[in-house]
Amino acid sequence: MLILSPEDRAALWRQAITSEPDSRDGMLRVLAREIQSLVATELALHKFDEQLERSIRLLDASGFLGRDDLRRAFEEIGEESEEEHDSAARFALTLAGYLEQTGDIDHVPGEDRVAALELALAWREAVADAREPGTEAMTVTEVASHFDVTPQAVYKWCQAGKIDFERTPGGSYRIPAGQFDLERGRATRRTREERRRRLLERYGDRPPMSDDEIAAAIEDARRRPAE
Amino acid sequence: MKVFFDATVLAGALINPAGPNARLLDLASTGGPLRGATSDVVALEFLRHAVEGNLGGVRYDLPDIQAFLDAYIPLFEIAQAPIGRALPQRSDLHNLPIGEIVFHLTGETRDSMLSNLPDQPTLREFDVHDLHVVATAAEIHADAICTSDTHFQELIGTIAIYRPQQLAHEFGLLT
Repeated sequence: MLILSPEDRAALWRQAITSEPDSRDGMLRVLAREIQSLVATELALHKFDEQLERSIRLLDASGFLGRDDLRRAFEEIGEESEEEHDSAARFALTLAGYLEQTGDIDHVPGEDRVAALELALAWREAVADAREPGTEAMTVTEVASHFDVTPQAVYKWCQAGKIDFERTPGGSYRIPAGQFDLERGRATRRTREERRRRLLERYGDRPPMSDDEIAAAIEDARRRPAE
Repeated sequence: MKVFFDATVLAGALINPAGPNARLLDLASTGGPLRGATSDVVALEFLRHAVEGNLGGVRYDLPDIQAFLDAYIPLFEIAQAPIGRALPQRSDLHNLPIGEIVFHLTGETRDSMLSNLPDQPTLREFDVHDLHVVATAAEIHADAICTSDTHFQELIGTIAIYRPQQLAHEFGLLT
């Protein structure tokens, strides 16, 4: 299959997100196939076609498919320096981050929110399976994969001084692993994901509550016995 | 950065399991740059509200609450509250700044708790039921308290106050 240039990928992405309803379905399928051709080898996703297409459709429904950083991550797949060989993983983790946020969009139907969370986990596990993190220094992708965040979040931690890092002569980030407690919480990762899915399945159809409404409800409950 | 989470954050994570509160608790449970803690007293208060239907009228089943708390066991490895929510309602305390009361109750953190006394709310303006949150945060040397409770407005000593959305944004969990 012909691999598109970054410029052509950008054009394909824009066509997909601006296409009319009658051609949108086909455009999303073409986009999913292009992504599959780019990431399949590096992430060993040879049977991932369905999940990939579903991921793209869910992000289209939630509106996250229009995000610039996701499109940029798509354009950059395979366009990397000698020091960085993880552009496919960076794209997958960015995709996973938006799928996770799709799980918190009220207008997305409950079963689609559950599916989005399951897909986010599948993408993250695919990245984790494909890459063994460094024991002394980690890449941005490895840190993002370990903590279930996007690469963009890790760059933010670096820039804000929340974690220590070094730059290589080529400009890549190297993050000392010793500053993290990498064992903490590892055992409960799967438990957290199962808990999330179970709560959405059982209680996902109740009306949404904002943080302010939650705080007010707790304060009301505290006052009630005294009344 | 070490952050203490109160019952509003646990409740937010229960109600919106893919929302900012849940994502903060996830990150705080995993040994990264956000080191999180909560306490036994916070967990009990949260449990009560969840099973009694105080959170939007939904009564959560006990096994679901148990599974939820089990997923965040690492958060409970650090803190036990030095005082409970059933603190005697001593009227002599009510006009004192929160930091001064916490200093007297815990006796450990004079410098950090008394640094901005004029700016701190008094217990009369606060809520005696939240005193355990500040006391525990002080005792574990937390940098911040994360809460949706609007009684928490200003710095208390050196302990910053964050709303969940604000903290999640600061750690790049929201885009």
